[in-house]
Amino acid sequence: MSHPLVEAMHVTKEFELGGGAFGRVFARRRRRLLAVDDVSLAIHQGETLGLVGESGSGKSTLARLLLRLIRPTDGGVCFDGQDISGLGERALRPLRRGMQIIFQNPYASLNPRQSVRQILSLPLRLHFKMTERERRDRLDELLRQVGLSPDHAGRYPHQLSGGMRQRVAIARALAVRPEFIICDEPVSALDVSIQAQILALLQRLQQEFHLTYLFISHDLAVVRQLADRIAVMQRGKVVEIGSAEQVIDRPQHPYTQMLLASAPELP
Amino acid sequence: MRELVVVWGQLRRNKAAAVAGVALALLVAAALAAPVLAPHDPLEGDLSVRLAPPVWSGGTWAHPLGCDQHGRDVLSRLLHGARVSIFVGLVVVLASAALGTALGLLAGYYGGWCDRVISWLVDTLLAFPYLVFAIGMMAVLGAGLVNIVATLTLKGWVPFCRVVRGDTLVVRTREHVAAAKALGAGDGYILRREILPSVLPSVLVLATLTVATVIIMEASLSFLGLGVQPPTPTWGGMIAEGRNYILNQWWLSTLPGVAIVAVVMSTNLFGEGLREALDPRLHD
Amino acid sequence: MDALLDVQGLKTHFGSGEHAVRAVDGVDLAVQAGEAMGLVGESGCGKSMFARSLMRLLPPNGRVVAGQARFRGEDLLAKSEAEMCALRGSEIALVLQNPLTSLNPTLRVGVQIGEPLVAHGVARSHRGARGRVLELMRAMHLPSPEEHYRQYPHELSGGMRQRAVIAAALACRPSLLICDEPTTALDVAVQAGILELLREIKDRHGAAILLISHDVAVVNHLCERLAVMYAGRLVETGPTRDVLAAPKHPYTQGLLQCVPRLRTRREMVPISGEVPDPAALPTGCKFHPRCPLVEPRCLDSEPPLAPVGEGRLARCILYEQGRSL
Repeated sequence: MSHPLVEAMHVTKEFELGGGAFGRVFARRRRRLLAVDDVSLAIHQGETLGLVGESGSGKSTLARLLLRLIRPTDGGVCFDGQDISGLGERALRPLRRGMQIIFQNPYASLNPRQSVRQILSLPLRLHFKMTERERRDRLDELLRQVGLSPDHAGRYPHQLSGGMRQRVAIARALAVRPEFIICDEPVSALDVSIQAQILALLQRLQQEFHLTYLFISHDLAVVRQLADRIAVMQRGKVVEIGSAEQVIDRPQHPYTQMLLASAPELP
Repeated sequence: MRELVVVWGQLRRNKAAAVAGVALALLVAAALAAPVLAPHDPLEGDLSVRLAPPVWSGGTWAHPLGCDQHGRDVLSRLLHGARVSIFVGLVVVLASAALGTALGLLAGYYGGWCDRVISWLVDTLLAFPYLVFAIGMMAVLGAGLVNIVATLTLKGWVPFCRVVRGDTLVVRTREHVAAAKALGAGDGYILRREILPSVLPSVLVLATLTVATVIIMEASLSFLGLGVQPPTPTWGGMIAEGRNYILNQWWLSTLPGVAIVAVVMSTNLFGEGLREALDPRLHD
Repeated sequence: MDALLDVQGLKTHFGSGEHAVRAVDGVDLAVQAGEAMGLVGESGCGKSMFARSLMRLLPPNGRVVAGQARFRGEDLLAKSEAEMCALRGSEIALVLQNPLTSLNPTLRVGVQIGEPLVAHGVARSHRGARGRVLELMRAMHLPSPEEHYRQYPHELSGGMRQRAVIAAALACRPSLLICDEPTTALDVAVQAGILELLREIKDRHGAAILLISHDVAVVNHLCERLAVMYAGRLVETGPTRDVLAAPKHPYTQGLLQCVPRLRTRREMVPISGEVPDPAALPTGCKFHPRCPLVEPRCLDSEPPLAPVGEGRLARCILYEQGRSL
């Protein structure tokens, strides 16, 4: 396609801090937090864009803006050529099928009071008309695709390990057959050996389903494994963007250089 | 539904809650069946057995719990009084919980002016001490069962709203809520299936504590003469009427008190069991 | 020379009877004075419980059921609580993962750094300790110590808080500093600063460091020797450089394969399966369900740690009786 799949154009998000019912009345100078500051970037179909930055850099806020979970204060967000910045929830709903998100904390991203079956049924119910039987079959298929067995369907999140929970989160994102998936620190909370399993799974799924990823992490080495291009964020701004080799081997911006220099390396 | 079966199974395993649940069920059944169960008419007194003691203090089985100063059978009055107390307790708690939870969810989830209006209401109502408020309202509305229920609900929804609002503020930031939103779920679904179930345990705990408060409030109002009017028996009214005889005919005030304690304890234990049964994390 | 810390056969169990959780299941470890030893493992392997066992700070239902931990020749596990109190914070110090929860949010930072000095009688009061506290803060490279002295923990950044925690740990000049994931909760740039600080502490102040981490790269940065822990036991030990260059145990090999490298993009070959549940450990070798080199004998018995090189040990059937890989 000629246009990028996902595009951010001078996107800005400002949060107001301090509050309570009277905060607005009495505070003369409300504290403002510029979480995302005039960010423009484009993600093309089939690629993986890595997004790195430390905590507070605005990466997660940018992710939520791209998914229109929150509204930008300024600027625009486009999905598949369509401007979604100003759309209401009703108009967004059919578009949500195309873009999904996997969160960092596998303990918090699954509803603790729902079984795996219920968690995975939600996307199916929302977007597809299926019979009970079709739904069950699709559920089993999804579980198998992420490396789980169909008998995991009856379990609750607390009965699953971190890696398994993350697989369920991935299955949930896959259920709607999206084109674009944001992976927000998907392996940061996992052990190294499980981390490798999940990264391998994400790679395989990308190839199998022609997915486009925005892969967010504070860990440059992890990003290196999946990303074609890498963008570096600092305090709400994108300070450097380029191909993975460029950014890692020939960093231009001092912040990127500092990040690379600080990361302890293995031979 | 499958979940109810699971919950039922969990409840049966918790001995204390099961016993409490059974006790509660018996109490409610007894209250409902009062007209049939009560050996005597609670309103008609036989002055010849005035102040008769209970059966273990020298009385007869005709009046196992004794009689009051008008010769009315205490057991019959307890059973009929149960109807009022339990009715008021349950209805007020259910109405308060429903109203408070709904408003709390809205205030916590939507924020903005919705939250400001509701919070203002909450703060204003909280400023009134419970009894003062109740007395004032009853004075305006007049005595009677419906008015009691209305008055107590009007104050009772406030703690539910506060608790639910606080919990909603926390739960709505959780990632599974964002995930549902990303999947395209509407606000209704999110409030019903993603937020409400996480908020429910607090509501249950508060509800069981509130049953106690409400029953005691109703008893207090009846004691003060503002509640359901005599001769209809209520536990609070019975305590009030018996207080002059407390030295020698202690059973007149004490037995209704014991009944109140029994109901309150059963509700608390059962409520806690229910809360644990509903939390999938505490299973296996 | 005798090791500063010599642990033999340490076992820590939770609960009792058949379903006891064997969190630490027979660990032998020695740390020399002034050296940095790394203890590497994933979650659930027992490394944190090992540290807490040494300090005798186990959660309520945990008990050390076997073994010795000789510190300067005296068994820590045999000491009374009063004797341990005297040691903690003065001879042996512990730095934990989350500096925000390690510090008391209601007390000023300077007071908390001075606490060990007052508790162990080095200073008579907090006022008397102030000088030494400021000196410590300067040594930890905390900018403007006087200002930070009066501040509360939430007013400091994550990195500064961890420096404050380390300052408190060093106040009485301990000879052994145990750090349990000290940099995991910190940003990568801040992490580098803390690691540099620990290196300085080792070189300049001569403290031995036992660094516990799931991050092999962090351990590589600081420690001369490392030990790899899996399911409550050590599976490999040796000089860090040698172990990382040529790992002997299949778990170590698998682990190093999994760690993504910054400079190269390579095929990551994950270790199949999951870390075993400590309440339901496999029979025989604990790693056998996931081992690519598993043999039938591995299900029956677990081999002891066998020498596999200069100062190196590995627990694998491949190295018994001098077989080599």
